[in-house]
Amino acid sequence: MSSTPTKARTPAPAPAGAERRGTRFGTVLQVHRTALWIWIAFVVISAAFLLWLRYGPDASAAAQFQAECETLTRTGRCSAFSDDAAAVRWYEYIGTDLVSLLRNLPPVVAGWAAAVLIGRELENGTAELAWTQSISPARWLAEKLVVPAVFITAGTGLLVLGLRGFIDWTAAHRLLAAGYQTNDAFFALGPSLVAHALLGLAAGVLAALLTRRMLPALAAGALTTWAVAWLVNPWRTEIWPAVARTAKGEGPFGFTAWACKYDQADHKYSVDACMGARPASNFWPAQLTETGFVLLLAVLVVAGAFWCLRRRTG
Amino acid sequence: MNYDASALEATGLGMTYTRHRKAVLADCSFRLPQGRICALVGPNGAGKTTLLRLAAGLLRPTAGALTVLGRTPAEARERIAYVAQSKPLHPHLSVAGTLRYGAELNRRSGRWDQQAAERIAYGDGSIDPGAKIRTLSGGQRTRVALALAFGKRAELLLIDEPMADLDPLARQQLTGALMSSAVEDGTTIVMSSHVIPELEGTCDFLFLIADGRLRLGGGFEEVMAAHTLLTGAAAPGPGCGTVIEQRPAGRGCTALVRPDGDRPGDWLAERPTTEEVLLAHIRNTQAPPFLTESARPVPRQRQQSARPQENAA
Repeated sequence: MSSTPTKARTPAPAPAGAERRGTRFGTVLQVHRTALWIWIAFVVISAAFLLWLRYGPDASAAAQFQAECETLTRTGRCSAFSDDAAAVRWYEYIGTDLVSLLRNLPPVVAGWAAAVLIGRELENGTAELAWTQSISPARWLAEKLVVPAVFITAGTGLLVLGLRGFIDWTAAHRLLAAGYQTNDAFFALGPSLVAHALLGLAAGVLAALLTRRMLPALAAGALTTWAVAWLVNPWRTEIWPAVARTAKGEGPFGFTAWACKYDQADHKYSVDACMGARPASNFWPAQLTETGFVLLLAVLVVAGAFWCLRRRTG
Repeated sequence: MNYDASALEATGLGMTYTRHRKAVLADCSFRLPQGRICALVGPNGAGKTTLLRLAAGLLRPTAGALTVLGRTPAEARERIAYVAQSKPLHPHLSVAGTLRYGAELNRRSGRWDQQAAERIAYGDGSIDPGAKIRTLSGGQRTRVALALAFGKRAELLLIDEPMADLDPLARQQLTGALMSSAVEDGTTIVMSSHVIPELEGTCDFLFLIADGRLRLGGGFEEVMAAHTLLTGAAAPGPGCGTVIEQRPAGRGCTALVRPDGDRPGDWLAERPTTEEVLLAHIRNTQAPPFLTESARPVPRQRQQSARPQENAA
């Protein structure tokens, strides 16, 4: 036994309000530091890549090539299949590919929330360690939701803004290929993506509280989030009428119907662009409706998570 | 009878995990006065861990009620500490980081005592503050888990199998720390164990659970003194009190009884060892439970009259 004389134990005075607030979220950051750094690195690298795409040497070369081909008399050099057009072809698709990538983020967030944020702590007992250290389960869950939600909103929001700017720039320089995929990407890329990521967080947390184990929670959380996006996607623009006719150059969703200039109207992937497209003015109504719906769903899932936790603990 | 404030008080407490399984705890009514060091004894699967988890507010009882320090377990959260059997800690934090984590979780209540926590964690000098939890041995992890519990300066310390993976020296040191905490601060300690000799020198109160029910409860000495080991030529008759267990010994018979009056003269009466009393009750779950006066829940009317005193204190 240590012979250090024990001090008379008078309880330390309650710390001041500012200090209390300062430490409120510290434990979540302390425990999930690795995830935080991975997220920050992902956002920074993606944002840097977007900036390079937009302002890098390839961007100006592609824009210049496209402008020349449209204003000057066409030569063989302007053929879409020539080597010189390779940069343009890349810019046709990179934007929509990046949107697809970003749309896979919510299930990843859900899997992380289910397995690492909550599931692992329930499985190895560290959640109970926190609950017996002066933090009530409800407050613990609230902190576990708020801190990641702030970072997810900020990071996803930044990427959505950056990508939106990039897509609008490619559209303005007539670098974007029209078609189903572009139509889909155009309407999906907005605040609703942030809402889907937040729904992923909520769904992962609920899955972990229901299954109480890492791997089943990971699967359930990610699949549910993916399924919600899959179910919502076809309905995003369905409640507004399609534009039946779009003359060449007038463009669907505010873009020039570039794909039509190759006369590919009979090809499956460009039918939408040339025949029944959605006008670009539908973007905000569609996005805000979807964002509201997904956020409502997320709130319900969070309420379910609190109910589930409360039913279980004293 | 003077009713001291209770650290734990249960009436008809029961817990069933799923509807189709048998109850883990059934109809437990007991009281643990404050300031005691209490042993919670029972065979594996008896319900010791469930009882501690109920008291720590980690589970909701499915029957009956449990109060902790006169409140519900959730209300008493800031005043109790619990060390689970698996000693859960975040493996990727360092030891110092773990203590900082404990400090932050307790900052709102203003109860954290960094010195007390460090004394337990670094007491024997074998743990480096910068070492990650995942690199520690089982015994060192136990030390850090106990340090978190001590740092909280709880009024009630619930410890599940605290000493199982500690070496004898660490066991002695930590027992000393527990005792001094109980003596200096009046901390009530409940520790579960099935290592009976370990509890004998440390604890002054005892609960024995077997098969989900409370079998024995009360001050250690009182419980032991209420039992007698009789050895004689024949099996003890009805005049000897309640027979807990009897077995043949040589030509005669040895029986552990709870005498209810004068003991009959033709028996050799001895004081049983702690182990004999506990094992007899674990083996014979048909024996009627025995609670001393101090371990019985306070009747409702007295509880009401006792409340103003508690508030004053």
